[in-house]
Amino acid sequence: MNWTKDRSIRLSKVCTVAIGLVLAVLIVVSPWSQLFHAETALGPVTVNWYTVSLAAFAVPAYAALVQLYRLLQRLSRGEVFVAGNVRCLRIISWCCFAAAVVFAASSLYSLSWTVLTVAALFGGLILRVVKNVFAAAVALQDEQDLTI
Amino acid sequence: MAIIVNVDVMLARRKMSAGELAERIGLTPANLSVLKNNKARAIRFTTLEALCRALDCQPGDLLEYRPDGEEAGA
Repeated sequence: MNWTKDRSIRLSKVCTVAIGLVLAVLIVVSPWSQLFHAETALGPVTVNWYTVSLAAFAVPAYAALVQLYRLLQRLSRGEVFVAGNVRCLRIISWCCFAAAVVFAASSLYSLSWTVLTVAALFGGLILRVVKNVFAAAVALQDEQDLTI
Repeated sequence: MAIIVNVDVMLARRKMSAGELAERIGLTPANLSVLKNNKARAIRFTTLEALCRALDCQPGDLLEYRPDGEEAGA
């Protein structure tokens, strides 16, 4: 099978959707999971903190996945260095920082979340730098487009 | 932009249409329009050479420096 740019973009889209589905399954399954267990009884209600963390993480995660999908849509149309993609990257980086806040709060009941906190912070930082590079590329592209 | 490209003036002098010029020099009508409307940021020497050859003129006939705010010369 010849691996082309279009196939690569299509695979990225499939992975984006797949990760969204996996996250949804994790959120639904986590209250019954023996693996993710950190419960507190609040009166008649038992709170599974892993479920709370996953649900809180879902907000920035799905926002990031939507922006990723939009970015991939533009790439498949040949729109690479455009302002819309810079905006997508900016939003995704902020989603990473928001996820880091969720993970940091989750570290209060389980220190294992600390690793994810650091990873999310680094991810957000790397994406900000990539966004800056893309913004510079957009300016270069504009210059190139208006050179006759 | 202080550099004005006087393609319209030369087209009128040579009694040539913009479409014909675009075809002669291998530019798309859209790109020629960008040049004519002074939206271009830069022009390649190859494009300038093609324009001068097609319009039988010098680069100075096509390019004019007009500092921002000044009126057009006579």
